Amino acid sequence: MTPKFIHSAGYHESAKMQMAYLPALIGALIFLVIFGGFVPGFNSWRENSQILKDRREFNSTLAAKVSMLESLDPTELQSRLDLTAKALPIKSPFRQTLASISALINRHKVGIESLEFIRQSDGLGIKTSISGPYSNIRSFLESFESALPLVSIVSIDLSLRQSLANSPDRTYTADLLLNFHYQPVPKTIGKLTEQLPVISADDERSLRELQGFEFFDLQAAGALTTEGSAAKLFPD
Amino acid sequence: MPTKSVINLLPESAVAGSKKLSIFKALQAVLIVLTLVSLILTIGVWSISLITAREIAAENLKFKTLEEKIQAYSKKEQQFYLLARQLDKVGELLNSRAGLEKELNNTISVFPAEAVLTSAKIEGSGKEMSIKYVADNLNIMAKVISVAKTKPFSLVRINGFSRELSGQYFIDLTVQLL
Repeated sequence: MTPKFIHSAGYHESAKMQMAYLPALIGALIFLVIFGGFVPGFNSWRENSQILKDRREFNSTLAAKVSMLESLDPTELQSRLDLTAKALPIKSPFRQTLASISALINRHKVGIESLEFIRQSDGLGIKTSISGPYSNIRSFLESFESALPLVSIVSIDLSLRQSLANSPDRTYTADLLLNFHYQPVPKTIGKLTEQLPVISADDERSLRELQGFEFFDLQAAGALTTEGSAAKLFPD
Repeated sequence: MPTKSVINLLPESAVAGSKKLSIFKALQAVLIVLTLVSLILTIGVWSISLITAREIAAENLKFKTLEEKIQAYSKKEQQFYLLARQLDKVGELLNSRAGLEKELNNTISVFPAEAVLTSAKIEGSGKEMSIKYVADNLNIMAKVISVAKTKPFSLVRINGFSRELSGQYFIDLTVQLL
């Protein structure tokens, strides 16, 4: 006869719990660990890694910028800026223009018959009429093209003065349309996050070319006092 | 007594219960291992995240230092930006100038000196020029036309040709610089 094993009701209840609820409990624990701990941790690590990468790139740009700024010679920078500001003033160059014209008509012995300022969107327009022998007018124009501020000669209308047509010293009148350029300072210059702009080989060539240009200050022209140097833009 | 025979002695419910128990124990072991692995991974990932956060804090400090240095050089920075901006425009202007006075002079110097220039007009790109000459005889006028038709010129048109009672010849030409 087979013996019968009889367990208490408590034993059966405990076994049933172990069989049914414990795996569920452990499963719930895994779920909790993965979704409550690992996934947020992984997301946090990914976010932090991205932030770190961005910060490093940003700091590397800034470090390059600081290093470049440190290497710049303030005196040389100021003199270069002064030169470019003479070539391309930051405001309409009425005075500088008059100084150039005044100095050059005296030097090349040409007469000035009329002068009119024309308001233009991209510069200061001047309509002027000068007179003198052709060689003088030519040398005046040549000097004018290599003077600061930079000018573009838009048109030349040369005509012989009929009253002196048969004289050996023929006198001509040249009606000129000139455009003097200027470029105002923008309200904001550069951003902290931006790299410094590059002064290219072409820019260096332009600077060297400008060094050969003449600048007539207002005192030299004998009319007005000097004002408007680029240095004044940036008070110490 | 051999084991088999002992099992045979057990009731069927006890054998099935024993098998279930072993499966359950195996499942329990797997689940515990999984729990431990996930715990270790969680701790690992949070540690790496914390290390990264510390590195971010260090980079932030570095940024502060760099920002202060840039602030100290702000004048230089502005000057440099302005210089680069001005130079861009200066280069553009220097390259775009047509050099009208040179074109005018080159043109005038090629025409015969015996002919008197009475008018010359050049504008825009400087490619076309309107010129007027006066001369005492027809041969000089012929020379003027001949020059206007020779390189570096191309005669666009003769706008007018006349002879006055005084015997002077007038010519009005439009030439193109090649």
